[in-house]
Amino acid sequence: MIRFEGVTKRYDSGQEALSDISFELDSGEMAFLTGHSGAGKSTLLKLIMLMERATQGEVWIDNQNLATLSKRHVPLLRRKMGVVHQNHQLLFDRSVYDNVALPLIVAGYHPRDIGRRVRGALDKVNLLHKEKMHPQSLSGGEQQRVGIARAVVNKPPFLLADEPTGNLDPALSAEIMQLFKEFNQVGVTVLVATHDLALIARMHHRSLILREGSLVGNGATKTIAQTDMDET
Amino acid sequence: MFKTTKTNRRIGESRTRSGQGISPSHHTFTSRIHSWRSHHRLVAAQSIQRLIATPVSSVMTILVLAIAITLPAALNVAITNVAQLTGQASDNVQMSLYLEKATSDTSGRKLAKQMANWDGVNSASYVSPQQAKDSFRTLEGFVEIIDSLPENPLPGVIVLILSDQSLTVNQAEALRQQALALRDVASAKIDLEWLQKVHAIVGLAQQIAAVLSILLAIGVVLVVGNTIKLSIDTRREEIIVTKLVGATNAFVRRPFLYMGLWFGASGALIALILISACKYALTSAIDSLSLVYGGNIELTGLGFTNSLTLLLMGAMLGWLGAWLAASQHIRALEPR
Repeated sequence: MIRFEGVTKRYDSGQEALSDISFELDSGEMAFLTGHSGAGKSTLLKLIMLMERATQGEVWIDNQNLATLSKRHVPLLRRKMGVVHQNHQLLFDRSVYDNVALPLIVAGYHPRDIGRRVRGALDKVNLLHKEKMHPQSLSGGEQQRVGIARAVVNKPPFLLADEPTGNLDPALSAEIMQLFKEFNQVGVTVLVATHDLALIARMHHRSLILREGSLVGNGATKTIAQTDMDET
Repeated sequence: MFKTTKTNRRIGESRTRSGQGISPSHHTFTSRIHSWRSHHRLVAAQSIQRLIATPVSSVMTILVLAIAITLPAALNVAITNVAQLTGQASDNVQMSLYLEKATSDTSGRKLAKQMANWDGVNSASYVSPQQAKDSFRTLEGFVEIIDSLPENPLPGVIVLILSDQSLTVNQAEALRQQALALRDVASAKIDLEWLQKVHAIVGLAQQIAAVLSILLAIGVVLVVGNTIKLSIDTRREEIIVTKLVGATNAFVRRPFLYMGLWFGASGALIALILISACKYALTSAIDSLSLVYGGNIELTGLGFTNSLTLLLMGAMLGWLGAWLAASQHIRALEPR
């Protein structure tokens, strides 16, 4: 469960990235977070994974108020979230396998389990045959899929994605989205930030629309895509 | 493109096994300990590999550390040796009592016998004027001089060997006064002044060595700290990504702490080798010095215990330097 209660985020520069945001995402739900670039999508995701803290209001994850979460417990929160970053955040000095294994090593998994889980995750994104390669020798779409494998390798209850299809062609984008949908079907709560409205329209999921830091839409995709297009 | 059916089943299975799948840590405590230990082993090995991967800069750093460790350690070894030498000298401090010319050999021997029982005196022996003259005659060039003299100018002498334990400067002086008070004793000579000087110099040197040790220990910490800071800077991205996937500060710090440990330990190891080399190089010089003094001067090295202590100290200082740098810089490196 992810819940925002009147959340405002003001940066030190005085710029207000989010203003009075409230919404709730149930466990096992899948939703899109959309809006133009600079609307506050990334900031909202950063608040969930505690890369930033809210200036006002409360962010709740699984009945845990993040404002009261001590620095010491931040790593444990992050282990509950698989995050797919726009720029992959892969490490280029090690193999695909080692990149995907990182969350498991960090969480202290037994070496025996690590191999099994990493191969499972790589199989899921169809990259098992490239486990020994280095990320720089992969295509953009493949790198993104390595990022996804890493995000889901420790089977987190939450999956966040920030523009996961940003640099991909429509066919690849659809495949990535299909993958997210599959994770959602097995119970993972998924929140995908994207400005790819056409893609969202086909998916029939709930959408949260941000405009200049405010939540202007919260409902079924089709209608929202419609209103957004009407307004622009 | 994706193997949906097969993997769906796999994820579904594990989800039922792990209940809600909310907690990613459904592995047991013992397996956690096991993986923690194996992670330590892995990180320890990896940090050595990293040192080897950049051999030139690693060797430079280790040499700087080695020199910083060698200086105070070698000084301490030198001081220990000097202190030992002077200690040997004070073991048999002699006091020579020159008797009045009128004293007969019989009363001289009697007096020596009495003095042998004095507190603080190990042994006392009487050297008659004739014996003294004879011993002079054995020295080259003295024969003619001694023979040309109309009568033996040498007085009888009692040589006291002072017992080693009781020998403080004051006690030795008290013994001298006690001997001088006797009617037959004309003068008494004791060679303590140089000993006092040597003791004072050794004491001063020990203090200097202590100050130097502290300064250079701080130097070691700073050198390692700076090296680790540079290493953290080059691994910024890795640290941030690792933190993003849920690494604690302790986890991120670990490889750097091991790196500092290896730096310090290798510096100390090289220092040990340097000190041994110095000792070896000085052996022939010391041997000829030993010949001159007719004694058995032998250089003492660091010994096993001190060598081990030096290694541990080096490792500890390296670890400390790494810890200071890592805890400061890693905390500041947060994903943005």
